[in-house]
Amino acid sequence: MGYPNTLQGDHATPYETGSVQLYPLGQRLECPNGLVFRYAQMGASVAGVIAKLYQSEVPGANFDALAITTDIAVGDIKVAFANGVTVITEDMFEGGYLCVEETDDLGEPHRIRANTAHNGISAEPVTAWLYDGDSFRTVVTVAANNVVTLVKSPYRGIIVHPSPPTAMVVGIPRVVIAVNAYGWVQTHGVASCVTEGTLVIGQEVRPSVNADGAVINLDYDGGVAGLGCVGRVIEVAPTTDFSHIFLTLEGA
Amino acid sequence: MGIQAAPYHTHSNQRFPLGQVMELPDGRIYRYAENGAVALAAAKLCQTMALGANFDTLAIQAARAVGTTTIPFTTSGSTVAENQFADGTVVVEDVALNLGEIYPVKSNTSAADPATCTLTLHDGVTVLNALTTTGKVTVRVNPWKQVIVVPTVAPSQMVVGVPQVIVGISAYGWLQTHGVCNVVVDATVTAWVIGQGVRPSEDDAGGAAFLDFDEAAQADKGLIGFAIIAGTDLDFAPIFLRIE
Repeated sequence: MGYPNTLQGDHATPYETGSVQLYPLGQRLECPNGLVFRYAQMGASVAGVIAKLYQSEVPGANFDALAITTDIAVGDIKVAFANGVTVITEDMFEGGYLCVEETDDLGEPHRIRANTAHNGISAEPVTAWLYDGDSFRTVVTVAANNVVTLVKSPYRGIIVHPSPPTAMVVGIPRVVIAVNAYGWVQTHGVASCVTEGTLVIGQEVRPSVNADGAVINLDYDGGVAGLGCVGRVIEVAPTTDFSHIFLTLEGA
Repeated sequence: MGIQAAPYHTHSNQRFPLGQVMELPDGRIYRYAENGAVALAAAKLCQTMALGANFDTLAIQAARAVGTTTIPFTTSGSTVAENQFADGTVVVEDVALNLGEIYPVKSNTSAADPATCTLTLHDGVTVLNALTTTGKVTVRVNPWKQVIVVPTVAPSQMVVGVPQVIVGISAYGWLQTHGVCNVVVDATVTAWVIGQGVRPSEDDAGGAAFLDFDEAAQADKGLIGFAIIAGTDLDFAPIFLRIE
């Protein structure tokens, strides 16, 4: 399956949601006026809300440094590894990434197209396939410290960012996305977001450490600047209300 | 995609939607902008127009059902010109209902003060949740409408780019937002450091100053790019612009 790197949408596209996945997670959508969105799946527990900043599902450590069970040859398009005790569902890592960790000089990253399931008990390895056209570039043999680390797509199972955030912030939905449903989260351009405190027009904002899903002034000597800039203020609403923010999550 | 010469073109009539993105072969990015009442100098940092608080938290004039394509509001303190908010945005403020929806505006009617101004949403966009007359909206123009050079003290609005050429009064042109760009150097307090960040100046209109994160209030103006050379105070020097 192939999609253009960036879809060109109209003004109405970001308001579309559905229970059936139409695009790869993380698919980029650009709309008139330079607005950028990413295709995302809402988390399984709480229905989405409008105008709050979302983050990825919290990545657990159980998929870090899993031992490969078969040598990787140059040109291989899949890798087999031993799972721990955490259940892996089929294609849970679709659209996610794996990184080959090897003591010497690797760190080779690849995107995951599909994976087999694992019940967290069986001795059978799990297999993950790379996207069409991608392949491993370096030989990796089965040995101690030759492992892979897997992460899900940052846009799978998104949640309103807790205060403070516990994973990478990924965007703001313009419409309610139901539990487990799919839709678009905005990452760049003029957006609406709930705010904490009194913002300063023209200055930067960061995720709040006090109010879930909110943004607050980015004060570089305020002690929590490390959360980073997520955008600039266009218009200031009262605290807990919604302000116009120029989002810059795609980098600026 | 634009050609290398495109950023130097200005127009007396609007050719593109405000905020139109243009990318050049080397990755430089520009936005189509309308100048304000003073000609823009080349290589000076610009900001969006100051709109004031008269367009914040305005009463919805008539209820709107889900699926409708217009939102009428009552002006308060300012008149509204026809299509002043075209390609701008409207945010529905209603904390009780936990809204905060944002819609792109296609056009608006003119309105006296106080009077009803009706916003028409862009094609295909409709009201997601019913609006009542107890609700409020905040409207904003497009950030690239009637831009001005950043004032001497500090930006009073969001910075929106740097023109590469003089843009006449009320004319249209391109403001650069990303990539290698020339800008006025403010080295009054601290010289630029090659490879390190710069921010809007507090001393020179449209200038850029070294971003020192220990310089409490000034650092909060935020990063706009990275210095390519050290530059000389009040001269022009290239930076790698990172407004977007």
